Amino acid sequence: MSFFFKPSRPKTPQELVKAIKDSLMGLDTKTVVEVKALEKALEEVEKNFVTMKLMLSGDGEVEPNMDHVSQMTLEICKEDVLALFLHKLPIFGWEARKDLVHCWSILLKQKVGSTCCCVRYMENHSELLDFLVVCYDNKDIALNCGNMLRECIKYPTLAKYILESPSFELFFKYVGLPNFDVASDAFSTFKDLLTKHATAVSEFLTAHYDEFFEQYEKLLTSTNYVTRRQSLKLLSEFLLEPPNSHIMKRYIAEVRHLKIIMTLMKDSSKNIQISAFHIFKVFVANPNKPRDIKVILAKNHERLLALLYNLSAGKGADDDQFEEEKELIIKEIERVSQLPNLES
Amino acid sequence: MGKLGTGQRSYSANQNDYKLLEEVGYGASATVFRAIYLPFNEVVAVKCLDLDRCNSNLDDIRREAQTMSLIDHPNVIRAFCSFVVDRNLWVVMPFMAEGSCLHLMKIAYQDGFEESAICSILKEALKALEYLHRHGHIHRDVKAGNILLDTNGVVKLADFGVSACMFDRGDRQRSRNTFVGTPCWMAPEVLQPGSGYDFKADIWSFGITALELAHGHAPFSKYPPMKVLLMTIQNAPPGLDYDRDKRFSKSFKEMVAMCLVKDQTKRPTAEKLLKHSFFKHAKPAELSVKKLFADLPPLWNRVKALQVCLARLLFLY
Repeated sequence: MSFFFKPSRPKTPQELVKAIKDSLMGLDTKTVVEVKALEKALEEVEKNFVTMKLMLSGDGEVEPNMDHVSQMTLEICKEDVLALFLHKLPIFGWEARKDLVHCWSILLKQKVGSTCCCVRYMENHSELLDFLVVCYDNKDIALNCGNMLRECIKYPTLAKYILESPSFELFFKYVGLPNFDVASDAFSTFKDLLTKHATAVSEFLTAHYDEFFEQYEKLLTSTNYVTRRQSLKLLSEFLLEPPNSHIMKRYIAEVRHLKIIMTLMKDSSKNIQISAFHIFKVFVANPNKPRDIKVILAKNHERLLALLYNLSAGKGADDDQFEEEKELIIKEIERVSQLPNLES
Repeated sequence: MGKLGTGQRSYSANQNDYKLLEEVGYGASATVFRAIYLPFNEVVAVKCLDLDRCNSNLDDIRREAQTMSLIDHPNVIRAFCSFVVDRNLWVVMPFMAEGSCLHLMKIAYQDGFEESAICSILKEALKALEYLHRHGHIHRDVKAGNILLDTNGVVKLADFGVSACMFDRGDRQRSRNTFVGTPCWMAPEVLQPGSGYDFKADIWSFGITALELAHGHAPFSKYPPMKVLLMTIQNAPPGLDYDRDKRFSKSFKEMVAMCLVKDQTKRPTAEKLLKHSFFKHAKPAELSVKKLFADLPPLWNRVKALQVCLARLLFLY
């Protein structure tokens, strides 16, 4: 007799948020352990999420009503529904999770007045960001949470929070997880964190230089091919960013880093060899090479030159530039190896 | 809780749990094996992708893995799991015992299938496209070689080698303007510089796939890629209007013509196309598709037979 309960008119944003909140609260510990009750409660959540998605993004033909979207956003923050979304997410079904991810990005970018109130909410409830990070441990929801997390870190304040949070360190573990899809998602987030907000990253690297590169070294020397290749590529991406130039200068003055890059130039993968060369060249081209860097280059110059002669960029348009750089680097290594005062 | 059940069985990311058997398919940088997942003693397909052959970067592959894990539709091949083994990525997928439509045509139906089988296959593939488009994904490589068949007649669309996500802005946008896929199946707007790629390009490829299933090969398939490119842009769209096409119904011809309109805005969406009269009377795939495999040897023998044929051809030249 379901026609008795059919809604006679569309819900207002306030009513819908209340219905969402009630249905989420319905997923309490008592319900969750009972199969039938849980099924029913989840159905309710799913139904509400479909309505929410419709209100926030329209149905492809009808554009959403922006007033409703604003009211809905405000109400969701006011009623702490944002926190409920995340805490209950592990219980949701497949479609409900996807609908939530879809709505999440719309909610975050929604401006009410001059502020993004959901971003503000996340700033004030930053433990939710840590919650999203540790979701990488749960294979079933890792990708949904990863998507939501990347939406969050588009905003500098939220990205900065994670960089400084103890949970950031977990990424060094997550990017090497055996499941490729989860590890890939974690890596996408890790990369965004280290490349999207230059000043925040630069400040972070300055303050945590030693811990960070100690951890990063583990990625570069990982036995997992993908971890090695990606982390090497990413290293050159953020190290060569202008705001990080002081980090780069510090990095290329240290022998332990040079040794790792030299090992990567000998990797069995051609792609890794070439990426390594693009960092190695900075060590060599550095006009203010410290003495111990020069000593390493001089000591290994024969092997290095042999390696470089065999290295080719493969097919590609930047072939000429590569050869030119290679030649300069070879010359510089030869010069360094002939310096008289390096023996000791 | 049907929808919750999708993650029911989980497959390990440990190579020792998989025993690779025969090779059942191969491409530029990937080989597909029939394999046994030892803990369940279950037959699966394992696609081994040589990552060192993918130059530039791994971003596309990472994205493909993420996309495939967030897809759940009975007509779309889903990855059970994927993991790195040496320099390869292993992607574990359901094993589709009869291989691709392209493969089946090469071995037993050189001149294409009969209409009722085509109708069932296309309808299943279109359901997959409708789902992907609704979730913001463009497939970008719809063709008979990517429509896989199982012994029970189940039809699934495979291979997101080049799929892009429409919801994303930024770097993905760029990758969407690059030239990927096979020219025979490509929409005119995709072949022209400047114009972007949208989901209507899949509808064109779908129309070409219909012709492919009807004739045993895609139109222009005997020409070199550059020639195909020019013909797609300059010639009138191909269709079912040769003498040999008399055997096909009017509604089939009409459906194909709707997909193969050069102006992408005039092409129907997947959702609309599904409602076309051609698909109204589609027989269940279990019946019309299953009939196609009667009396054929198992897939792995067929692959071997095909390889022998190809080798012989090469030898002749």
